[in-house]
Amino acid sequence: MSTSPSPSSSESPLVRAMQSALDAEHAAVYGYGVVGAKSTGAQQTSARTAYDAHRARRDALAQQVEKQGAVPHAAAAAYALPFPVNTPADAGRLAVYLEEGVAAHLVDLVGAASGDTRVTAAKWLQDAAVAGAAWRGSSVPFPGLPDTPASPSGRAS
Amino acid sequence: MHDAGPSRRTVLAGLGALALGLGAAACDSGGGSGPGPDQRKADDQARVRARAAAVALLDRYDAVIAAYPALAGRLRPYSDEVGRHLAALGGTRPTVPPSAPPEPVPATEQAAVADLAAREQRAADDRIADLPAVGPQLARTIASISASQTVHARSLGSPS
Repeated sequence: MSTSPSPSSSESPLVRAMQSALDAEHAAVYGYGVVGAKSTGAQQTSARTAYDAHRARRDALAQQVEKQGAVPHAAAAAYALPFPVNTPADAGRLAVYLEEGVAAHLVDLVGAASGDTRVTAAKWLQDAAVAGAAWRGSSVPFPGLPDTPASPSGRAS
Repeated sequence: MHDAGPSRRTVLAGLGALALGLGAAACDSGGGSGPGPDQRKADDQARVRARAAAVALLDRYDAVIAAYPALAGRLRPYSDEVGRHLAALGGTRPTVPPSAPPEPVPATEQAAVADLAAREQRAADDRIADLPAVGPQLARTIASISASQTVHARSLGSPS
């Protein structure tokens, strides 16, 4: 535990974090298919862009897992949506949900990874935060982290 | 400080028929329990840099809002979030004004906002550069702050 995090072929914390992020990206790819189907106009274009971005990240994560000597998780056969998605507004809310979920997993990967892998995860987190803010129409102070009102070490004001 | 709670962690589990196996990854990994002195030093240095960057951004937001009060409504949400970053890093704003004379605010609203966007982006890049050296917990916080700064930079960089 205190030694350097040299990954083994078994499910090290790093591989678990990669697999979890991969699971999230599989879900996001599925979810953006739904977002696109229920969107129109410019929102549909945004959904397609996001769909492609998550597919690319899914593939990159699968490669990372393979490089660690593990077998990348496959997508689930089916996903349950968190709420009914019937209108473009619903679709926009689903997109926010997907970006926030992915961001939480990418923060986990940042913590579990080191070096270049950590930096890559942090850049993905930036992208997820930008996408989430665009869909939400507003920003959040700590993308991927719980929005705690104040840090215990904050000594606010 | 910002440990991922169960609600955010399992947010996608509701989407998946998969058992996502959440919760184990980052927090238990890589010994947040006992960083060595080198690690603690690296963390301290990164934290100091991140706090200084947040304070500089806050000063800049204030200067721009003072010069262009009409921008307050647009800029305050971002500067409030920078204030939250500073608090999460265990920092507070100095009550004495900065010793160095403030750089002049650009001559137009548009240029002032673009300048803020560039400063947020530089801060975001600097946080990323600090990531490899810090421990897992601080890395999570700093990566999230960097992502927030990137959102600010992008939002300010596009027309309101």
